[in-house]
Amino acid sequence: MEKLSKELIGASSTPIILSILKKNESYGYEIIQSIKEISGGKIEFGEGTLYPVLHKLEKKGFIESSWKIAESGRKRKYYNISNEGEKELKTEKQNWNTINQIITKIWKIEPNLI
Amino acid sequence: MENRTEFNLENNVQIWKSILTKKNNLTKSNIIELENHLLDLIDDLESKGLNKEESFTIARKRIGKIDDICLEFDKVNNNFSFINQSIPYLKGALIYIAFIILSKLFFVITLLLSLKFSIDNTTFDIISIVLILFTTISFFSIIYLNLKRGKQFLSKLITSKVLVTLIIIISIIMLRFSAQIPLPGIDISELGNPIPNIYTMETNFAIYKILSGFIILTTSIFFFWRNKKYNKLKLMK
Repeated sequence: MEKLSKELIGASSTPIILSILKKNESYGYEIIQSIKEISGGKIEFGEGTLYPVLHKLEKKGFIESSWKIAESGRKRKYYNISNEGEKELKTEKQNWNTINQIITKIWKIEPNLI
Repeated sequence: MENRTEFNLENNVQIWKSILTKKNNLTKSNIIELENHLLDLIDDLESKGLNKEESFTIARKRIGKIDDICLEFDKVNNNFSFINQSIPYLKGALIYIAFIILSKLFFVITLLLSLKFSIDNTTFDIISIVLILFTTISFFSIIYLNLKRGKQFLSKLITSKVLVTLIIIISIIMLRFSAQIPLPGIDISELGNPIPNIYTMETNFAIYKILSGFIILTTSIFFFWRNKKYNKLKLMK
């Protein structure tokens, strides 16, 4: 299967990141690893561009961050989902389910479209 | 064949980091995050058996092009990047003001010296012309050397936003007004006649300053538009 388009990755980045952070607090590098693992390598982008996305979510109040020192001695910014973010994740979930239902329905009615 | 210079990882990371620090749209904490991501990636790749050089090359590639990252960061840090982009303009305006003060200082020194040593008009003219030439040449050669060394003083001065262009215009207008006010601490009526036309002199200096301001402004506008055109082309790609 081909890799997903940039637009699709961009649109799905909010629910994906929020879902990962709902499980545990995490930092940029770990989030990227999780995304790669879950998507089986289908989601691939310049890793540096994850950070602006994280900061955008932080600005919107969906996630919170704090600096910690890792075992290696490196400073790491850990991200946590906020209450606002949990609400957003629910909405995102509904939206993506709706889209999924609509598309599945269309393809069921007109199978020759696939 | 083993005399190939050894790859210095730390050095290369520093060079990569220095490119980031030069960008206007990244904050210090953004840079720390990106640097640590790069280091984590390098560690990971090294543990998989790659050497330092290979790990660095792949890690840098995986992080992505710095310009792409900055473009994304710019959307988040827009307030910060506006302030950061304005700083070079403010510096430019400050340098211009310093230049004005310096030329005024030269003017006052020449005036006082000519009074003390009773220099006649012709000598006074020669001294002031030499001083004007000296100030102009040193000012513009500093800018030229900055440009040549790749510090891109002027192009930074103009990278964007109308704000600083406005500051420059305002400082020129202020200067025009200040040129009408006689020098502080010197009572012109007591000067007698060694220098016949102090006001003409002052006005001449003002015209000279306005002219140099005009040159700076025109160059700024030129760089500003060129930069704008370049950014447009880049986005279209």
